[in-house]
Amino acid sequence: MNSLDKVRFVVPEGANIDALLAQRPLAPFDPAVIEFIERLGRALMASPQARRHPELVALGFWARGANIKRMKDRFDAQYPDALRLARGLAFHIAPSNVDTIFVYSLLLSMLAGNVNLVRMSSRAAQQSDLLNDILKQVVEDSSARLRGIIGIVRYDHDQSITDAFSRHCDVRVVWGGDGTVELIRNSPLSPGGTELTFPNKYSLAVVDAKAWLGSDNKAALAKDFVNDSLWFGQMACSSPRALVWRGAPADVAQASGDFWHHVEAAAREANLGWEDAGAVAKLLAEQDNAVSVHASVVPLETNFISVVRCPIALLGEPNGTGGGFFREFHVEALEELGASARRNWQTVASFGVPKADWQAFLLNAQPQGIDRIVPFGHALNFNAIWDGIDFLTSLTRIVVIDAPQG
Amino acid sequence: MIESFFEVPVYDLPKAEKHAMLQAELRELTAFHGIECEGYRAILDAYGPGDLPGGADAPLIPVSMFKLHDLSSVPADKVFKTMTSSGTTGQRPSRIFLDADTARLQTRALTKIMTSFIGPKRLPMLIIDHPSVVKDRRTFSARGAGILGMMTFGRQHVFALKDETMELDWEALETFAAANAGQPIFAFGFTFMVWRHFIQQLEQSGRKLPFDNAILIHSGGWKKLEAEKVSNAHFKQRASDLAGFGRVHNFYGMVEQTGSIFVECEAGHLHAPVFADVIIRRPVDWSECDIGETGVIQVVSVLPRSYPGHSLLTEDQGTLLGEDDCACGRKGKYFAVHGRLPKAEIRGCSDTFASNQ
Repeated sequence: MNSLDKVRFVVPEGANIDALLAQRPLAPFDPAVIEFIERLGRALMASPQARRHPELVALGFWARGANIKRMKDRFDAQYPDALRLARGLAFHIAPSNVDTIFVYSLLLSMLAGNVNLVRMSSRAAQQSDLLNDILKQVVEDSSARLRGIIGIVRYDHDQSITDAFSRHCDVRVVWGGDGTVELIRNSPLSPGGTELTFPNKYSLAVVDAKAWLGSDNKAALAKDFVNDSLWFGQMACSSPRALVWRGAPADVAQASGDFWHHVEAAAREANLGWEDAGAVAKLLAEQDNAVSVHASVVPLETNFISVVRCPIALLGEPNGTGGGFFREFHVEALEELGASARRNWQTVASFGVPKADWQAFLLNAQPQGIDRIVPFGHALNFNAIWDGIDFLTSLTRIVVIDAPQG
Repeated sequence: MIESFFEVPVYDLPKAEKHAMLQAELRELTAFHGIECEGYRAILDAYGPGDLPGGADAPLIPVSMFKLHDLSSVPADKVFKTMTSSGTTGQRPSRIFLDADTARLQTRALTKIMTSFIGPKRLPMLIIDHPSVVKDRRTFSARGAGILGMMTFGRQHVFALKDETMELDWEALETFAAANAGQPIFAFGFTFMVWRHFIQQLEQSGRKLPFDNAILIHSGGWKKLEAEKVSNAHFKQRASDLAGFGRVHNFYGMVEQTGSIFVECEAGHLHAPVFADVIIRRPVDWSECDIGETGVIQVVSVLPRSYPGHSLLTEDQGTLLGEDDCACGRKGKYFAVHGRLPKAEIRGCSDTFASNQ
């Protein structure tokens, strides 16, 4: 294992790769891990800079004792007759920008009892990033027991190292999009190893035209929609990039102008991450769509958002730019989404479509994708069931014991 | 009537007259390209009446549109020359289709502009680059095209650099200097080339060039020099001290609207020639900025006849400084360019990790 000499620890300082690889896992919900997560949460809540970022505040809030207890109770109740154990060694490939979703998955893997080897890109390791910094500090300040089950490393791209870690691990968790997943899959897992991957995602909104027209809550809804779509420059995996209207053409025509008028006003008021270059990029995207597919541009007062009306064939195609750029589509019934929904469809922010309609659609059409359907305002909320994966279950194994009580 | 633009002085038309002439011509161009260019028609049709960004007379087309689509208003067999921009890695370069007429108009415009600054006579010319940059016509870069275009205004062309090593060709420089002792000369080069491979090499060598009454014209953007903390004033000072360039003129232009050359006057301001103009736009809603207000630069020109490039929104930030009242005495709008619009790094949970290797 000579090539492993090239592996550098970001945290804990002075850790040893062989020791980490030989470390035995803990039981799920080990007190040392719970304590660590609570301490991380308190560190986030105590930091004035962290408090300026809603996603860090949300993570800090999630990390509190009462929530972890709730997760533990649910976990224990899932398979009352079986024993849950950690999978063993979890090898995580972090995204280039260490973001909160990735940290949730790491924390859940620690709660699962796994030993965690995290590969951070050299770029991310050098970034002075608030979340990164706080995480590292909290690890360093932890007990030997806790420090033994986490190692954040970096190494220049070297397939032999990734091969070695992949063969050694029990579960591999790959963030970073399609390119990364394909690259990492060049390294085989051991026959018993398993993998969770997080390729590129596409998220959208679906709104019932009549429901919008009949709503007396438009300003609040528009504000929620802005929060869903304009944080992170509209570049989060759950950010809606498209809006699909359900309804009759006349209702849709009326609802559309009214909806975007409200959203533009809410976007202007919220002023989330405005960029001059973004305005030019959105203008470019408008005209690109005009030339490519004869899209029409929805007239709006400002460039805080930009909307083009497109033929349904474009539903699911990447937009080309973020910062508040939307493609708008129209269907008469949900069923029409069935053919368009690809495997990478993640979040649908929905308004005016009852749960029963969604259930009927999903069961009848059996679309390839859609992981979650949430109301406006909830698109960016993390849930331990993410991208169709129940983290705690996927990161543990279930042991059946059929033996006398004795 | 395009000819009317060549019958008036290039920097002496008062604003009321210029606006009227320009607006009428631009309106005609918009209508013309709307008929002759399918893609441009689609853009016009995409916006409701009264909703065209920048107005219906000369709606804004972002320059990068020419990277995404081939926009031409003439049939393929009428294309005389295709200009390309230097595309950044991973990006398709812009493609600009010129027919013979447009190419001719652009040469005439450039001549009017340049001769107004360097005089009517062709001066001995020093090119601050190396010969191979113009050799291979097939792989015509924007740099090569720019140099070739400027070479029309000089004679007895000499290249200051030997080859791709960017070493100064001292022999050629000394011969050139000797042959033109006491005579005015003019030099042209791209800004970073002039600084890095000419001025700085002179600095390091400890030698000076004996030019007197010399004009330096340069273009290409200040970004690299800003990174090295070199100001326009410092650049001019060294050019004067080390090589005797008493007159230094920067110019702003882009391949997407060739012929739109905005030259720096003696007062340090960029000037719009009679065939073109500059409008500064507020990115929040594309309304026009006031004098002194910074915004995104729009450039208009009456020259693009073979492709819809007559009204373009750049990706540069600028400020309109005034109109018709510049200290240098020239009429027309004068402005400053501050550089590219700043762009924040893209964040998101689906970064392409693989491409960061």
